[in-house]
Amino acid sequence: MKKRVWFIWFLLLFSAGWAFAQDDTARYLDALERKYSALKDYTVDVKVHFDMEGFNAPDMQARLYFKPPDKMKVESKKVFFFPKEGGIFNPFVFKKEAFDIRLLEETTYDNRKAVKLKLYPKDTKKMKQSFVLILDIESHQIREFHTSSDEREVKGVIDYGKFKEFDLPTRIELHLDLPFKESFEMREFGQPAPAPQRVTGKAEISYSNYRVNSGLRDDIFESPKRKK
Amino acid sequence: MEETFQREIVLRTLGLSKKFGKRWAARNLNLEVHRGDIFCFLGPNGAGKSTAIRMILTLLRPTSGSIEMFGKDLHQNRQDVLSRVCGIVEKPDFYLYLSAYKNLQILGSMNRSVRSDEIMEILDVVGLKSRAFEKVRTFSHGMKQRLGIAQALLTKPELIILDEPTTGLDPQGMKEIRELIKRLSHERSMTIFLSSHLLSEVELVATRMAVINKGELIAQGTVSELLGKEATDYTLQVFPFHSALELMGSLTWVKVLSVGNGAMEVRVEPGQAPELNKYLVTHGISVSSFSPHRSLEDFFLKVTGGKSEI
Amino acid sequence: MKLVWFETVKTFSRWRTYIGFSVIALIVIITEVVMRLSADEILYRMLRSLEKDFLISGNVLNGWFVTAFIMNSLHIHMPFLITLVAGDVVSSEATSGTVRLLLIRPPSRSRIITAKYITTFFYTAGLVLFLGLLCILLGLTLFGSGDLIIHHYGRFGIIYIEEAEIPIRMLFAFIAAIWSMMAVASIAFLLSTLAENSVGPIIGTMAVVVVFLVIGNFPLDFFRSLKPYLFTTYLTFWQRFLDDPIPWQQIGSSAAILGLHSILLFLIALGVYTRKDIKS
Repeated sequence: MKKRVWFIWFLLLFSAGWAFAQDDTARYLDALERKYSALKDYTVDVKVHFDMEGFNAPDMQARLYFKPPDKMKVESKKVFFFPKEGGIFNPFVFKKEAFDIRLLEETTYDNRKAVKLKLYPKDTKKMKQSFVLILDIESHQIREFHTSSDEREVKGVIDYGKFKEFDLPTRIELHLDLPFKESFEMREFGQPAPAPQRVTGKAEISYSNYRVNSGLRDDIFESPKRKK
Repeated sequence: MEETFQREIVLRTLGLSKKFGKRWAARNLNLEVHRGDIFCFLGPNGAGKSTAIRMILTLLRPTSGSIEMFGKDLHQNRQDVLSRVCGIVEKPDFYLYLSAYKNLQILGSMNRSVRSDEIMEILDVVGLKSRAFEKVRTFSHGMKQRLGIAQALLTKPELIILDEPTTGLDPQGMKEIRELIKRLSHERSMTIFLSSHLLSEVELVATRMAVINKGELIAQGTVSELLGKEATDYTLQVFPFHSALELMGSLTWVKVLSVGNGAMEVRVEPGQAPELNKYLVTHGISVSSFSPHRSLEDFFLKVTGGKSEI
Repeated sequence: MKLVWFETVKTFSRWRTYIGFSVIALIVIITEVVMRLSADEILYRMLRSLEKDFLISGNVLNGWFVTAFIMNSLHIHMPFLITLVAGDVVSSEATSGTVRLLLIRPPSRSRIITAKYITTFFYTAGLVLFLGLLCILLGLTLFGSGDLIIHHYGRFGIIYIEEAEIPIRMLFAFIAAIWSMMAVASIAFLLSTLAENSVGPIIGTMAVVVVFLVIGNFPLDFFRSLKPYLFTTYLTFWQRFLDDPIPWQQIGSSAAILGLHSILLFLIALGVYTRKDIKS
């Protein structure tokens, strides 16, 4: 009997602790959400410098449009490549309801208080990747992120600037480790099917000329879908 | 002066030979062509005439022997020598997709600069001026033959070499070419070297000739030297026929061989053919035809002493 | 120079010469119109493997890309078109009998054959430049301009050439393509000096090119070891002008190998022709 009471007590204590821990870590994402809740859209000029094996390109420039929760568009007269993962600053991804959150450690970042969180998506059908974030909890900024899914690994380091009342990235350094598999259709006569390979390297993205909350219309994000 | 002019040798072959595999197509040919000659190279088909001409015109490399033209070795002075020579080997083939004018312009300009009016003048000489700008594709064989002579004339050569120039032509075409050759020799003082397998043709145009058989030179000299030494058969068409027959029956140096179809065949002692002609005319006989009835085969049998294989 | 001019006049007065140009015009027009109509599908296939990780914007399927795309098939159809003339330039004189008029002229055989080789070069250069210019002009009209994105098959390799830099690189690429095709033309030219009609040289040259291409692409180690010794391996060295950085050393060695082939083949042709007995 005693044993059973102890077990129930332990269980209650653990689940309460777990619930408390969840609630405690969720406040970091809450704070982040509150911080950017007034961000209705932004437009920014981006410049990308790739330092990746097999990717020989000069610095590329484009204008980037973003509207929460996830509308985005890249506009460039020239051909423009932009990393999908981590290149577009979107704090609205990190909603506490969407993740199981674990505090990995309390730490400091640039001499400021920070936490390292691990975010597991609750709906793995909708979102496949998990995140590790280093959050500056004094200014509620994501300073580093690390996302991994299947075979993809992306790590990002973010520097901020103040634009209106918002902290928005001035520079994001991405470290990419991505799979690459050749599409069969591009094969020429006599060429053997190549083995899958990994693409690794760095992309440095600078952001300038922010225009925040300029009232971007939804239709500018619509682009004709390609026939496949 | 005339003797000196005649003796100037414009073409000389020394021991000229060509071997294809184990077969000698031409062997030890020693030819001499003098300035102003209409030199006829006579021989049956396959005798080696074309082989010799091709060597003279640098189309074939001699196996042995040498060729001199205008006193110079051909192979050492090719460009200089060939700029004074022109020829047609076998049938004259042109760029069929080009006009007669363009063909002459291209071929003539390889020797020297030719003006447009020169081309038109030459085309006029050979009777092709009105077809100057038509593609050669539309030309008959005779027209091509005349165009061939035009391209040879255009370069103003001192020596023209013609390989079987009347082959494939109809009698009218043959006559035109023969007359053209004579005219060129007389009016333009050109030396003409032509090959033929037709003895009758040779007799009509040649001043000097060489006979070749199985690649070897059999005889060389003036036409009268080579053809005039033997008794010859003639075909005569005369009127009144019976009077002529009676007259000839009285001549010891004439033998009537056969009679029929309004013509008679007679054999005349060497050199007496002109005498017979004169005799008949002076006795009131009208001679409409007096043609030698002599085959190349007969001639070869004579010059080779019966050893010829034609 | 006069001889070259005459050879050029002769070559370009024949309808056969224009078969190559007509076929190229047909290939380019059909390919570009079909590409225009299937642009979405091409982009999808082209970018599918990249679009998983990158947002790609801008005019990727532009006139320059289309030009590079069509040029890739250069070593397949161009040799055949080149042999139509290169394999005929000497032998046609024998076929038609004009060789007997040509070679009894004062110019030496070596000058005549050299003039013919230069004319073959003009034709080859003309054909490649025609392909290039038609591709570019039609491509730019149908697809517009833009930066050139080259993706090498079989490895992750994206080369991005800025629009301003493309024309000069394309020019070098075309010069290199002419150089490559001259090696093919030289084979046909040599065979043409040996033959009395153009069928042999055309079939012979195509046989050499196809056999070498097949041997070079056969996925067996033995055949792979032969690849460096096959001139067909170097035929596509023009593509290196669309690499970044441009591998000058590789280009130099490829050009030297092909150049040596061309020179050697021409010298053999020269030797054969100057000693050849004209029996036809």
